[in-house]
Amino acid sequence: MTVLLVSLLLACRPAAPPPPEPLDVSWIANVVREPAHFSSTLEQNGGREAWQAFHRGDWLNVRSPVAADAQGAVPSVAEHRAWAELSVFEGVLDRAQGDALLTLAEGWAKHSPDQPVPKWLLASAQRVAELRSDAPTAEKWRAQANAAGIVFDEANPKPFAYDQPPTLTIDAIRTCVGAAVDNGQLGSFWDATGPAALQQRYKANASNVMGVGLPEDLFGPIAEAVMAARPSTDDVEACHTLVSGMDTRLDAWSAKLAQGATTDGAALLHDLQLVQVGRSRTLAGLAVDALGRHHDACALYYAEQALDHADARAISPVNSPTVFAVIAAANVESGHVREALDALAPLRGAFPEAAGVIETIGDLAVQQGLDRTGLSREN
Amino acid sequence: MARSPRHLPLPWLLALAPLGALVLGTAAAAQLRYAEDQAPAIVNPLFTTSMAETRVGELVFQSLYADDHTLASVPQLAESGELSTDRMHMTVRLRDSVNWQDGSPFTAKDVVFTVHAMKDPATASTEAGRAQFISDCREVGDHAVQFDFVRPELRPEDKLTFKILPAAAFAGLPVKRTDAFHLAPIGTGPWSLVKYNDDNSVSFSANPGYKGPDGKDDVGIAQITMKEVADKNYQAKLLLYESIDALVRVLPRDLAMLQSNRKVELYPYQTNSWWYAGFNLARAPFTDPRVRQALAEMLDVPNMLAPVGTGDLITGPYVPSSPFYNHDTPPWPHDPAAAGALLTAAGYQKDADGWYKAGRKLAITVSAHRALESAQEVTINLQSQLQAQGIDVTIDFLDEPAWRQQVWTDRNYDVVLSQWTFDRNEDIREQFYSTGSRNLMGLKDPDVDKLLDAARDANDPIARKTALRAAHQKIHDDLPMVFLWTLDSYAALSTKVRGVTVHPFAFFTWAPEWQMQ
Repeated sequence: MTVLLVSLLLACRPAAPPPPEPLDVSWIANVVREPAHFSSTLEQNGGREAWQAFHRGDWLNVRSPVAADAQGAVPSVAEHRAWAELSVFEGVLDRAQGDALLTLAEGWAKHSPDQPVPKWLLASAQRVAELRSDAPTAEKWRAQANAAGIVFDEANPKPFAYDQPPTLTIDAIRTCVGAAVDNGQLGSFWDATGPAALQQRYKANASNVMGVGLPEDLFGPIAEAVMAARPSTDDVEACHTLVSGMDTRLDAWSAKLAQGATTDGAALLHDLQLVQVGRSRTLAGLAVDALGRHHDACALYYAEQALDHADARAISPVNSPTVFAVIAAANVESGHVREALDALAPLRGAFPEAAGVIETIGDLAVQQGLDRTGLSREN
Repeated sequence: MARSPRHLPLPWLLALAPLGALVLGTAAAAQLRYAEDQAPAIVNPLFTTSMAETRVGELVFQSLYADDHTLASVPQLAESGELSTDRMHMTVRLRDSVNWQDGSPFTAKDVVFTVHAMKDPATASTEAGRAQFISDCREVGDHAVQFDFVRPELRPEDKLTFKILPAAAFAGLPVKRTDAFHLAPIGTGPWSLVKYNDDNSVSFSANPGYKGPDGKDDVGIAQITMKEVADKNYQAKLLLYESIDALVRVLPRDLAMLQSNRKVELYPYQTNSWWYAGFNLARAPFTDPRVRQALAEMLDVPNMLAPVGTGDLITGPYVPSSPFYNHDTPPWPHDPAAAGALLTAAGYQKDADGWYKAGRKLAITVSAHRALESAQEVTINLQSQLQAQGIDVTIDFLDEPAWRQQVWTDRNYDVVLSQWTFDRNEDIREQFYSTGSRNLMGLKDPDVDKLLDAARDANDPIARKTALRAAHQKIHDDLPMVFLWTLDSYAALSTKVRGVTVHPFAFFTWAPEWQMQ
């Protein structure tokens, strides 16, 4: 009884003032409160179209760094933002493709000992292992490639010149076709190092941009505190708790924000799906971070939470290319190779280099089913 | 007279509260209720045809090997396996501590019986194709089985994934659909089928003798109830009102509503599914490829898809994300004028009333399974489109027995509207091989057979991929069916269900690890 009374007394005590809400100083709050300022920011450096493309996830239609360099103009914030995002995106694609390719090469050697690993696969496995600084693996495949008589075409060094980005055009890298001389014939193959080369190229061009009047993470993550609270293990239930807490907070905050918004601010909040975009980019950030720490289950959970499932086959303001790439990479790592292909499908038309990634992961999916009997059902 | 708890003094209530919460929590939360469009027609893995039956089979039965979380085949009822050096034989040692749900021991006799039942033509098992790679098998003591293979097998455990039945529950071979077993099925799986209820729901309870892989013998959810909710439009509402805890297949148009609800989580599921309108190739006028092409070109498929939800149009027997999908195959164009020219070339003449040949109007019946989601909207749209172009269309919705009998047994149909779902291997052989057990349309194309043979025999992924992409193109050209679309495909579960990982095909494979909050 005493415990109950003490609890009641404590409950009656005046509450301490709530801590300031960090979301109140986020870019979403700024956009909603100062729509005119937001508009003028978009116009800086003629960047409106770039911002629009960036917002809808159409990152390739934001001017490429090569074009920007050639034109000599100061890149807009949106362009820098797009290149930074593309750098992250290509890094995730590279990881998915590299993992798939090395697994494919290993699996091929094990599955068909009487059937030699194809030469393009030997060469690619060697190169991917080199890029990952995995010397023993690289040496294993190099020895086999040499024994198979592969000579890389010196006249067409495109696939392996990733470390000299200024000499390459992004379009050239993006074709992702490698070349090697095999038995005197010049052959071509999907170059598994394409995304890594693109990552390097974008990274070199993306830089921090300050002084544009709005926080630089416009259309970016909004809840950095969430990152600090992320679980230290690959525990999906802990990730669920984290995301649930974030959602509860966001729901309450966004309702309050909408109530206090001007007509223009409310229109922007609704039409540009600002809260959904901020939430998705936050979760995408968590997903990339989890992937980097080999927390594949959490990476998959965050990325699937980031996705707008009602339009899950399309890149959109909420469904950024990075989200699809993370789902693919996490699925490849966890053995769900066929599901990785579902995630990559929306990237096929939007990113030419995705075709090579899809083929590689597709080959792995087929290889893993070679000994299986398929199942089918009606309805 | 018993005293109601509401009349107990406050200290008593405070003291009892934790216990009450525990008891109520256990009783209420330990049950998972999930919705199916239609209850399983039969619970016997030898005769499984629908996804609903597959899911129930996963609750009740086990196989020698099964998928772990990385989708690698790991022993389930098997203890270990030893492949001969020529890869033509394998000895599988069985776990000796497993019992059937009636308490009798699981032995090698059960495995041998199941294989022989699958292979017995008189059984007419829908799973016969899964045992074709086995030429024979025999008991080697109580807890070991030796398999002989038709050809060398590299990883036979990847194929030994069919469900095992208790030999003692049957009078012998052949097994029949009508055997008493289907009234009281017995498995070794994590849940036992307790009762078929009057409302077409089915109740399951945790199998106390369940032996899971790696010593994981606990089942997190004590009771499962499958509820038949025939009105698909109602299912999402039931989930939101917490009358059910899981929906195995969400209507695409409900996705936005469900994902905005914080009490629900969506899980990609059953993504290798596609819709088709298939022609009876043994029946005129569909024997004439010009008529089939004309019908294909009369249809405005995007218009048919729009009311159903978001999805991708397809041109062949794969979903576009499949490694076998041939992206170079163009869709049949929606071109009524060209369609008319094809019908004219096929001997039809058009008057004000429609298309006629030898005095008979071109008229077709479209048959669809009553449980096929959104079938009504699609068939009515199809009917409206074709009738506007001078073809009479009758729609025939069939319940499960009529569908089995009329479409599958008697092949008495013109056009069927249906959907196929494949596991991650996307093996279309049974659907399109001349002698395939699921070749419902009756396609007989030696070129397709050769490509499917080449794919089956391929020992490297590139060769298989190349053969099946060619098969995609050839099957598209043959037009046994108009390939329609694949829909966004999700399951939805209440956030009360925790620890959820959904198997991409069988759904409940890892359900023993699920918990209810």
